[in-house]
Amino acid sequence: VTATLRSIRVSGELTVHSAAEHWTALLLALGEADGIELDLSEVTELDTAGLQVLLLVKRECAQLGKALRLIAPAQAVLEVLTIAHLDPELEHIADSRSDHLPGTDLERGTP
Amino acid sequence: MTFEDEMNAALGTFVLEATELLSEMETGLLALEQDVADEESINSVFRAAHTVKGSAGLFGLEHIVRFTHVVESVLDRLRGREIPVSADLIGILLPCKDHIGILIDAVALDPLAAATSPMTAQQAESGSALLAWLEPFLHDQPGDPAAGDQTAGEGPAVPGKMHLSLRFGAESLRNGMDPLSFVRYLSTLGEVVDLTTVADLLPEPEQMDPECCYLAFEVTLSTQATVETVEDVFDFVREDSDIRVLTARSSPADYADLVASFGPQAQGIGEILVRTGAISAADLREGIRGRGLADGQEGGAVPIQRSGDAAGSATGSGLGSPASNAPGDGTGDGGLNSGPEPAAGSAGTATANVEVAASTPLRRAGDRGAGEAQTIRVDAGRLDRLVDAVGELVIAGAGAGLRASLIGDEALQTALDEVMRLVEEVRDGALQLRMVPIGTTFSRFQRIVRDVSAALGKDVELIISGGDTEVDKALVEQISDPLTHLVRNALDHGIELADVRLAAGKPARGTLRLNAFHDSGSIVIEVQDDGGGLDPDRVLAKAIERGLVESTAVLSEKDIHNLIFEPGFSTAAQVSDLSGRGVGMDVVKRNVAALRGTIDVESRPGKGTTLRIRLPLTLAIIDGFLVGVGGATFVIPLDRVVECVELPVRSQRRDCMDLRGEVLPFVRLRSLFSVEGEAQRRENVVVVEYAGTKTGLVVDTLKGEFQTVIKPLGALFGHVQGVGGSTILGNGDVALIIDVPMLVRHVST
Repeated sequence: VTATLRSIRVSGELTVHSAAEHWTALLLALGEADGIELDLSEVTELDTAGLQVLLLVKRECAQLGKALRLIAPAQAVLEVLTIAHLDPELEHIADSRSDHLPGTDLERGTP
Repeated sequence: MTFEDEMNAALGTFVLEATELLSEMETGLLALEQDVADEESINSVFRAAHTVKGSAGLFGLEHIVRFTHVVESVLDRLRGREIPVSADLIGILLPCKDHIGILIDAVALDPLAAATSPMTAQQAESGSALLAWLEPFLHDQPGDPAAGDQTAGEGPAVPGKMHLSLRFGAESLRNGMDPLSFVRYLSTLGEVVDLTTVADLLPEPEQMDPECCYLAFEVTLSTQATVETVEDVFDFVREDSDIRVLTARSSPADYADLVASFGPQAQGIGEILVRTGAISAADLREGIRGRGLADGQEGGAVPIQRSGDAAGSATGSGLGSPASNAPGDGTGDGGLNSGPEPAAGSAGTATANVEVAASTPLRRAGDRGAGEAQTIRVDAGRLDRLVDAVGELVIAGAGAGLRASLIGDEALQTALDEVMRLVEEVRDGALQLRMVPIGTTFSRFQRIVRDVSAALGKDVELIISGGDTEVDKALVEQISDPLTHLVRNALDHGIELADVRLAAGKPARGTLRLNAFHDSGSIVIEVQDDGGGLDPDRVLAKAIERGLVESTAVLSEKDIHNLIFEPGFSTAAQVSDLSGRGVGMDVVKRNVAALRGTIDVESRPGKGTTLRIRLPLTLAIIDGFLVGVGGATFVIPLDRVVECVELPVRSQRRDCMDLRGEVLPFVRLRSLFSVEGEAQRRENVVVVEYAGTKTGLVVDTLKGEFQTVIKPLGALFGHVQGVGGSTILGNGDVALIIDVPMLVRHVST
């Protein structure tokens, strides 16, 4: 079986106004592919609704053993991640004072 | 509605509310100036500043947030009794409040500019000047006794570190509240040392509602702010959310409660609490044990017991717990890779929220919310349209009534009577909607009196009474300028300097009274000072000098007093020579007259002066009394009508009659308005009263009561005296409305 990786680009706002739409697309992709490559470079705005969609996708990927890669998060995304103390792989950052946002090095291996 | 429109509408509400809050703040500050120990005022001032800052933050008005934040910090110290209330401080806080008002007004004028260039150079400059003034109050001064007390006493100690547990209501996102913006805002209060985004409450994918809020945040905040300040941040969402603010002083039971409220996720939360140092593992376990015993809930205690252990090992605190329970790869993972029952977890938390809401001390906001729901903001334009429509309804109803009475169908008549009764009720209700207490206008004068008297070097106390007297909103707005004028005049020319007062045997502190009351269909507003009063001789001399009266004229004292309302009586240059007043009194009089009101003055030398404004309660509809003269119909405002009598035969050739022993002067409407036709053999007199003077109006026929919608006369008739407006009768005829005050004056002069 060849692993398929689906590329999805989220552009515009990833907020409560569009979260449902993006969530449906991601859920669909999750069912069909072995992994998702999520291009966040064109996200203009991210709010709690958007963040929880990302977190849920991540959790699902982890549970189903699928790959999730977040590509080039835009400034709007990075800002929210900083506030939420999450690194660009959506992992918790323990200490706010350690400024380790590794830029665009975002690859996350398959579990 | 586009998003921008919605934002603009919301911004409009913000501006309105902020303006109200600022005036509350001003009221509070002024009250504090009178009574430095007034806790309630300190709190209300603080709350106002705080809420303005919070709402400004929601709109991203960073410049307002930054400035208000400093003001709020000072107020917070005031509230914590770290610094005393002083005249100096209030003298700085008042202009600070004004500055916030200016910034908000600028936002209201141009919301878009607020984003790009929020402040003019001048605003920025005055802002920093004010901040520099505030600076000393932000820190303890050496030798400041209050600061010493603070460290020694029990007072509300400044908690350094707080643990915040934020679970926002499921509907928060849909309601436009983004939890992240609250979290973002927390960093303005202090440093967010640690934050864990708790994703455990996210449901299974198929149950996911992307517009529902599932995320929770556990925050460690290091701040100088009080718990209350931090709690207040969440005022807007508190009702549906579970927000807890815990400090080192909170009891272990509170922490245990928090942990338990997370249900199946309790373990993860326990770990977070211990890891961030909010509470030690031992204390937490202690708290949980106590809680478990108290509740008798074996099930609740068991998973939590584990949590303590797990946390203990994760932090390596050496409690001797088996390390196997702890997640292998450190701290955060528990949050994201959590157990298999998240859906159940979210349900469990929902129930927990309900019971917790009842037991947390954060219900204040809910109570306040209920209070707010009792009033709604209505666009004044809509209200005007309603009143207009009701006015037309009254006219149409009166028309139908006239027709019905012609037909003589009794059942129809009865039905119409009922309709008219209801229409009247609706009319009264609609007019009632426009009524506002005049107190809000009055209280603005506290500040004016304070500032003006300080500038003049006088000590003046403002006493307000009758503030709950209700009056039409349109009137309130239009009377405010003339009133300001009168108040300034009273301060400037009425009340004397302290030494003059003492020499005259009066208390050094002057008194200015603002009073309002209802009086037979009018509202009366009095501005009363206890100053020197008008000097009739000087007023008369001035009037003669100005050519207003002949030097030989013999005038009563009242006439002399009224000279101050004459145009050209005084100009600014001469005012200070005069012991009375005079600046633009003619303008005040004109403004009042435009509102169909009158103004008169009462003054006693050495004792003071009272200016009395009399205004109709509303501008739109009056109950009228219809009278006929020849072919014409006139309306006399019913509230002016005292009685109707037949004109005695022997008075027919005179201008006055005997009314039960009183002399009643009268005017013949026929000759006054040049109505054609001969007088009837029997004429009637309608006795009207205004400001204590009775006058008769001679008419042909009395036609009874009629609800009248006042239509203003066109500019063409603006100069016509004795007519206050017109109305349309049910049969389509036009009737003129008699201006009783004007007629009464016409007769008495």
